Amino acid sequence: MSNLKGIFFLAVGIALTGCATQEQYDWTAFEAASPRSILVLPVLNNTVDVDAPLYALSTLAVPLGEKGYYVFPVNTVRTVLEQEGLYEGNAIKELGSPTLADWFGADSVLYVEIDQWDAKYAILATTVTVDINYMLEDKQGNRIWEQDVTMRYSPQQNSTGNPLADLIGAAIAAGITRAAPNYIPLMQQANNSAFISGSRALPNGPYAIDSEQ
Amino acid sequence: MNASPVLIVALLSLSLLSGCASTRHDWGAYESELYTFYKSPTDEEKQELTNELAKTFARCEEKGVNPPPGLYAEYGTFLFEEGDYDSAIEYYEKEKAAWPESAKFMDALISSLNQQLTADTEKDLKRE
Repeated sequence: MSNLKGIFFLAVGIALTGCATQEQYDWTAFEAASPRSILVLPVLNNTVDVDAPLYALSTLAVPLGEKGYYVFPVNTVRTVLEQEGLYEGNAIKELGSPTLADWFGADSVLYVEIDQWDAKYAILATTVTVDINYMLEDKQGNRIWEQDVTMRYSPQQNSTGNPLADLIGAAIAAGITRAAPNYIPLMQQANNSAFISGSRALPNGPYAIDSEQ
Repeated sequence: MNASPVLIVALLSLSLLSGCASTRHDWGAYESELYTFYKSPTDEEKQELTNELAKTFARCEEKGVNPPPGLYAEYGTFLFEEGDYDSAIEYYEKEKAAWPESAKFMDALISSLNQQLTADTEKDLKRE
């Protein structure tokens, strides 16, 4: 019976640390700004992968909205910037947060930079290694939060219990992945570990479930 | 008795983890539809995305909750691109009513569309 109790506490412990790990991080600047809204800008791509910034831009609103922030409509923002002749992450970043925050009436501006996006193709599984930098500035242009996420990702495969069938299945999966990769789950994992579950998870925004009055 | 501790651990972890993962908003398939549209920006994909947004609005409005931040405005922008300025303004107004943080941006979009509408009307009047 004591064994059972031990397992019980271990499980609770594991599950709780899964939600609540926080490193010593200086939140002073973030708390001083205490943003209600986040302007998500077109992603800055430092890799040769043309799809990487598209995966990133289409998956940023959800985790930030879930965290309780007002997230500006990413595609509308992108459309408006393009009408101003601003197509590319670097040109947009050069405007500076005070200008951008003023244009859109935003409390904070999120810059996402993809530094690495390497796919290694193998027979068994394609592995992608990514390195993404997330940086938040307040409307004065002060850096109020930053996180770097490096991760490896392999599209999931289910074992059939038959090694030969697994090998053939994996080869097919690798082939399919090569033809039409789906890296939305990869970006979701990276975003979650930056904003929600990682050591520098953002504090709840004004619309979070817990902070709703 | 052999299997039950494992089962308890599994159930417990599952219930605690799902406690972390409950969603604040109903996003529908916004992420994947947006990506697909970016990947191939065709009228067909744009239609898929706007249909998905309309479905999300219907679900949220039925529950009496606001759709997630930004989605009314995204829909408004697709209407604007189709030349339907009146409906675009209507959706920008909805975004503003649901999320006051969007007010400055929505006001700017609405006033630029109103200017465009006035200009169009003047052009029509001159033609007559």
